[in-house]
Amino acid sequence: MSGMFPSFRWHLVCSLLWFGACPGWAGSFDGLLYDATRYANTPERREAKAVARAELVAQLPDSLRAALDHIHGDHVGLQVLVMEWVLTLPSESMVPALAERLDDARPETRRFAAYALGFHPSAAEANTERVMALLDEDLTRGAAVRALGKWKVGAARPAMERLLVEGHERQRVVAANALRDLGDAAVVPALIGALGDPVFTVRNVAARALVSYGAAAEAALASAVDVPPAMAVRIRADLGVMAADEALGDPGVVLDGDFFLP
Amino acid sequence: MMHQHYPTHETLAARPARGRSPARCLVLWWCMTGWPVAAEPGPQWAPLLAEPVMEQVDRGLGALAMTRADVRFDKNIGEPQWALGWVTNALVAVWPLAEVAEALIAVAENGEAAAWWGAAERWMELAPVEEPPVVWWPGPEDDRLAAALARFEQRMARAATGREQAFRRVAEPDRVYLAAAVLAGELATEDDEAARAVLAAAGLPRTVQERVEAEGRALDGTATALAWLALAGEVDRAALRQAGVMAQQAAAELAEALADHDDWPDVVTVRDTELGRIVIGTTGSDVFAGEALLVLDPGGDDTYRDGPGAANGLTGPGLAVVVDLGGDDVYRADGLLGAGSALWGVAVVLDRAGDDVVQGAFLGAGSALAGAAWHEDLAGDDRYRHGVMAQGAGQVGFGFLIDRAGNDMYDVGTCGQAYAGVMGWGVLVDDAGHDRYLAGNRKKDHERNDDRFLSLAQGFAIGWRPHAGGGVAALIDRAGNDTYVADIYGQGVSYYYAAGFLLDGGGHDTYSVYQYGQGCGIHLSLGVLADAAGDDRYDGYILAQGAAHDFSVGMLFDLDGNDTYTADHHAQGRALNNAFALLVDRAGDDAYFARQREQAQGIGNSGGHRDYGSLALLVDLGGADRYSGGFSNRVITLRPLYGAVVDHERDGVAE
Repeated sequence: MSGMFPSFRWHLVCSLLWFGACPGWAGSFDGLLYDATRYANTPERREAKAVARAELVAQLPDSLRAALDHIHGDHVGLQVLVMEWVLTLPSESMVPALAERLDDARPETRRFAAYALGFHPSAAEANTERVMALLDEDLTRGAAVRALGKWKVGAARPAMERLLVEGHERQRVVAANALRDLGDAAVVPALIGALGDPVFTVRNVAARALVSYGAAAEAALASAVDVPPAMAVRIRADLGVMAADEALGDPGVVLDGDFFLP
Repeated sequence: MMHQHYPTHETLAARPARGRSPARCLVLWWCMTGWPVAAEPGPQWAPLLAEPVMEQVDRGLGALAMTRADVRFDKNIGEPQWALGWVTNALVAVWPLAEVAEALIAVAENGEAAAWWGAAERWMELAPVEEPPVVWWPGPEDDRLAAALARFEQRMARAATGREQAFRRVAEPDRVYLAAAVLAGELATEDDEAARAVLAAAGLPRTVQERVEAEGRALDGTATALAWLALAGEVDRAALRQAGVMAQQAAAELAEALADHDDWPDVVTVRDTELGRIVIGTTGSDVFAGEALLVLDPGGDDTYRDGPGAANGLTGPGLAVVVDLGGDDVYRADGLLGAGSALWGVAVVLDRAGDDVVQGAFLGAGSALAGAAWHEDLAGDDRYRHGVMAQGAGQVGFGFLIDRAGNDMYDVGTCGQAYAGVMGWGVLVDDAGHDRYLAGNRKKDHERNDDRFLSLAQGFAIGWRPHAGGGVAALIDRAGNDTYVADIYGQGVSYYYAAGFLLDGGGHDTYSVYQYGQGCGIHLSLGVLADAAGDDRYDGYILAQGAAHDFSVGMLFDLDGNDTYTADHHAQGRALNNAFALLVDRAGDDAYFARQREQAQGIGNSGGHRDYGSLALLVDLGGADRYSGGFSNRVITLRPLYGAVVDHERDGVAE
């Protein structure tokens, strides 16, 4: 399959098409990472892959440090492997190595470290200040805002609200979600302001965030001006204070599920 | 040159005029004025996004508290070093993608070879090449064959000049490396000793294969990827296309001039020229083998073994033409290059008549790697069977397979039946007949679907993530009851800054794919399937039938007929992970079946850890329809995160 790419690298090619080992590289972390992420198109390579993955987990956090040396690169399979660890393994085996990379020379690595630490609330206390520092960089700002939201760092609220207005589209999405994660009803006015965003991706996460604030959002909406009416009634419907068909106002339209909630 | 990255068109529109490349000019023109006006598709085709369709799209968007502008949400989030400007822009401004499909249909209906070469120039964003005016020497007046050959040689001299111009900036060792970097992986040389020998025989020595295999073991391949792209960018693809034009014209003119010629030699004759050997066959059943500039055969059931019509610039002059005027012929190749394939070269096969068999173990029937290849068959029920990168396939080059008539069978392992890699153009056009297309059954889809096969075919284009976008692949079948069978990646699908199209005209057609296909974009990419008429069957399992995943765009248009759609999940207007998906069925009593109700039919999702939605529309404009999701006719149903099933009766027809 690799020929669809100008790439000779069968394993990498397949790890791109599929998040995607010949044994013989045992020993170094690079060798283990290669076996653990290569396209395993033979039983032997699958066995080597399983062995390498187990060995890498056994050698955490040093194996994570080795993987993070390459996280900025083009190896999607390696990035997927590290994210699997981040999402499934205990914080004590993840956080120290990730936190070290908040000061990495490569912005891509700093960004990844901040993003990954956001999945580990226990990392907050020791690393909030360092992640706050990443708000100053365009490349790392979104990841930092996300992590700080997950950690419920109120001090980051001004930066989040600023990003909700000034950021590019995906940064505005991240900011709205972070303001939801903060759980502080003081953010409601900022979220209401985002209901008029030019793009639905931002409008709808802002609406969902408002729904999470319940009565505070309902009260604020009642007095807000310049809120798109269709958004206001749909938020009220998701809050349970208005029927969905009333919010839709058109018998030719029905709602399957909620307006904004998953 | 590579390293050109096209920003979003809002940015580009504001860019000062200085220093624009022709491609950028094209993109800027589009930004300001809309797409260039294309010839109208034929009568069976209506505009894919005609006003009645857009009215319903608008109704669906309105019901979602959106407008057309919302479809422009950001999907251009990659930073490839090379990508087509229009592909990049269509990720955001998605509607013109349908117009590209219409333009390709119009070219197919025009049918002229020149129109196809023009399309390649236009959609691959190449600068026009000025062909200096020339007065062709007519050749000796008293010898029709000699005169035709004289004109052929003159045109091929131009093709040779164009070829040299195209490759002038790439040194010989770099040519070997560039090709090995593609083919060592494609043929799995690391595991396959026979493949190593095949490549070595084609001019790609084992030492170079080992180099690229070693590079493939790096945990970060960025440096080698960028080096490869730099080399590929040194190929002058505009000049290469022009060389292809000249060779294809040379073959067409030769065939035309001699179509009714009746004075042929009794034995096969051979003449050596500066550009290579010219071989003239007989009206009997001849056997041709070995490299030649031209094999010209007047008729009979002939056999072509490795060499004729295969242009390998690594081992020879890199120009190869076959003109066969009649008979049931067999083209067979066991080596890397089959008839109608080019590697650092230009190849043309023109077969005017007969039920032919075209087989190649690997490349063939209009496939090019750093080359231009044209394979045209004018009549007969033909069978095409190849291993890989075949039947209208291009990478850093242009591959065309044009079959004008007959009930044909196409069989390829992977990467064929309209396939385009980086800087590639791959087109398969079948004008008539009830045809069957099979792609797969060679390479397992290990680790994802162990019991299934990769297809990567039937209008499939792919880039090199994250470094480069792919090209344009289009399979266009204009008529007949056709059957398309693919497994993983097939039928109007693409991957990473690329565009894949499957466009079918009349007939009751059957489409089958397991995963990734039938109007599907995967990872920042564009896929379109459009079917003009007939009672069609669409069968898929996952990510199919107007589906898109990961900042992509997928569209399926069915213009008429009573159609049946079946799938398991992520199908039938399903946008996954911040993508845009559209299924439009304009008429007929249709049925939409999906096993997983919450994963199909006009529905988005939350984007995983990205935590925001997509946009999906299933729009049905007529007929009494059935939805496994239980959706009602003449109702707009809003679905989660974010999507809608828009069922509309255009004429107020009751169910």
